[in-house]
Amino acid sequence: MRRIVGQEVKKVLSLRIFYIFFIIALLWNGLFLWNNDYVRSDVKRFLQVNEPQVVWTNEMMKERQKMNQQASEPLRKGEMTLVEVYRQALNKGNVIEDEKFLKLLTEEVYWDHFIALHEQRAALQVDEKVEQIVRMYGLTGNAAATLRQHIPALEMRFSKLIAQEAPTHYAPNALFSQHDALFGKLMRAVLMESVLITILITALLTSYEREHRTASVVYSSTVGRKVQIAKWLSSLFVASSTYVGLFLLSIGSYIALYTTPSLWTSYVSSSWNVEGPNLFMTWYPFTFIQYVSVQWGIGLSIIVLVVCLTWAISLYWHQTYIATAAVIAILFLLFIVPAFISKSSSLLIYATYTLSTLIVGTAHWLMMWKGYTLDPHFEWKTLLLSAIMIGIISFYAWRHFKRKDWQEVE
Amino acid sequence: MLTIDHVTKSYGSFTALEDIQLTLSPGVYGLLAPNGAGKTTLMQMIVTLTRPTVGEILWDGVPIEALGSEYRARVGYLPQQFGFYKQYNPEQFLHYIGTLKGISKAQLREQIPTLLEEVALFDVRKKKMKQFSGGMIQRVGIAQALLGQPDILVLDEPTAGLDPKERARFRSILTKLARNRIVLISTHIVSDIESIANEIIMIQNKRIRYAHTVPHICQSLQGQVFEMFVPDDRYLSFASEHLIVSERQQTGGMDIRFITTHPVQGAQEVPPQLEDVFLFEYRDEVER
Repeated sequence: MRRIVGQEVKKVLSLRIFYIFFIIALLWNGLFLWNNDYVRSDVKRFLQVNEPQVVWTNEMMKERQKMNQQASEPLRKGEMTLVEVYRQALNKGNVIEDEKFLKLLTEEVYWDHFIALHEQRAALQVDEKVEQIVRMYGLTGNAAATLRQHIPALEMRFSKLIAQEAPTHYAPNALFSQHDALFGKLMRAVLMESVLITILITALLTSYEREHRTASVVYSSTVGRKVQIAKWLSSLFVASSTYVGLFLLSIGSYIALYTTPSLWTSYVSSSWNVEGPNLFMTWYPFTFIQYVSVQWGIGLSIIVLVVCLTWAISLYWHQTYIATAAVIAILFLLFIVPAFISKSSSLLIYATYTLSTLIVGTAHWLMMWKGYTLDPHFEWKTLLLSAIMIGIISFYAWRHFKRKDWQEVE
Repeated sequence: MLTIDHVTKSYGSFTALEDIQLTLSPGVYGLLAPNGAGKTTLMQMIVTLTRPTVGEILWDGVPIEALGSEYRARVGYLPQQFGFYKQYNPEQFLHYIGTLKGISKAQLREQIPTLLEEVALFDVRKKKMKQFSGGMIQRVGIAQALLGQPDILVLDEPTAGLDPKERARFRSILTKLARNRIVLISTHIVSDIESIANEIIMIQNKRIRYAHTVPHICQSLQGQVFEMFVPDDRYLSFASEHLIVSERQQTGGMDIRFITTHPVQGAQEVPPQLEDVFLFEYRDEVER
């Protein structure tokens, strides 16, 4: 079987369309990184400073420099705080060039701002936040009740987070406005590209013999129809490798270029991770690198499930483009079905436990505030449910294929 | 020994084959029948692409369905419509099929060049098959069927697309192979198998009409096959009264070979050939 899997993998790797799609995906991701103005300007400033010097390089810092709220004892130069000294100099039209002073001032402002954010976060009322989400989506009746049932778990997690993770800090060149850029837009792009390539190559490989009219010869050979098992394994291998490749080249490039080691070991749930109204608080105490690993793991699970679904569909319809369209249609339908369910029905909430919701909502994986579901176990429940459904479909597809009379269709 | 035991194949309300009973031991078997008679259906059941609706096929007394891959390892199959991978060369294609057949790399390294020589494709072994002619593709098909030295060779219209020289070469290959294996060939070209087949199987009305040696089958028309010269002005009336199996244009008329149960004055009785029997038995289908 191993040799046959190798031969099937060679088939995919000999297809130009595979490389075309892969390169387009890389170019698209590269373009995204290049066009992300915030990140680019941030990188320039970052590259001018050295670790472990902590330098505030975020655009938002400029706005927050105007804030007066200070939770800790401010640093002083004589009677005045550093900020007051700096302001006084500015008012007189003087420019302070003392590097040590400026460094201290930066760190002071950095710290003040951090404390302010942390206190703001700590003041959040969980039940009010849940009601806000209920109102935002117009939920009533059982749907609202289903969300409200998560309040105790949310409160428990929130209090731990505020006590342990939120107070941490890190080299602040990274996470503002980057969570959505990295884990939202870029990760979503990587995942969607991988899913599309996965569907195409799996459908192509499974339908290969019929489309080349070699099925009679192949299925009457020693391995027989079990060649489709080899094709399934090959699809898993190529799809997973494609995803890992895109992930490493895209997400890896982003991390290598735009983040620092001090970020990697900091908590994602730190108070710094705020983008406007979005609160990125994880259900579990993940550091940045741990969260990246979780993203990789969930993404890989999705890819595996998509391979299985496409393989099963292709066993029924031995035509690449029909099978591809069918799988894409299924994922699309799973995504839009909630739109047709009453907002008072708890079915609306459960209808979001789909692969499609996962694929689109990468920024909110394992996050506490993620719209329709506030379920701490949303991700693994969705993956498990999908695995069961796809497993059943695959089982019947395989059984149907094994029993079917094979005749070449003209 | 391959036994086809009271096999019937139906597709819904349509019956393709009915109560087929055959026992095949090493030798060449020619499967003769017009299009749509069920030859391909029978072959597909033998190579496990389809299952009988009733009855079973056994190899040395064991149902082939139960044997599974153990049985398929003994089978070489060339389908009527032989597909291929355009971007592969014949060496790569044979390597792939050989891998599916469970043949080791070492054995493939030995067998592939030999087979390509046999089918006169060794010189183009590195050329992509999309550049091949129909006859060359067919020869690749024959080569892949021979991979692994199968005990059962099932060839559906193997000489389609081959020129006379290639067909002669093919007959020679088969004669060598048939010593120790079962070779089942379906063809419309009677001459391809008449000289090499140990037994001819003819299917008519979904059942076996004949399963016997060529001389025995030809015996059925003994005394009924004649040849004579028919002038042009009599040809049409003659053709409407008798079954003509072949004709050759001459000056002023035609040399006709025909079948009749009533002696015709001036006609010379000739020994019946397999083609005569074929055309006689399937005259209704031919007319259709």
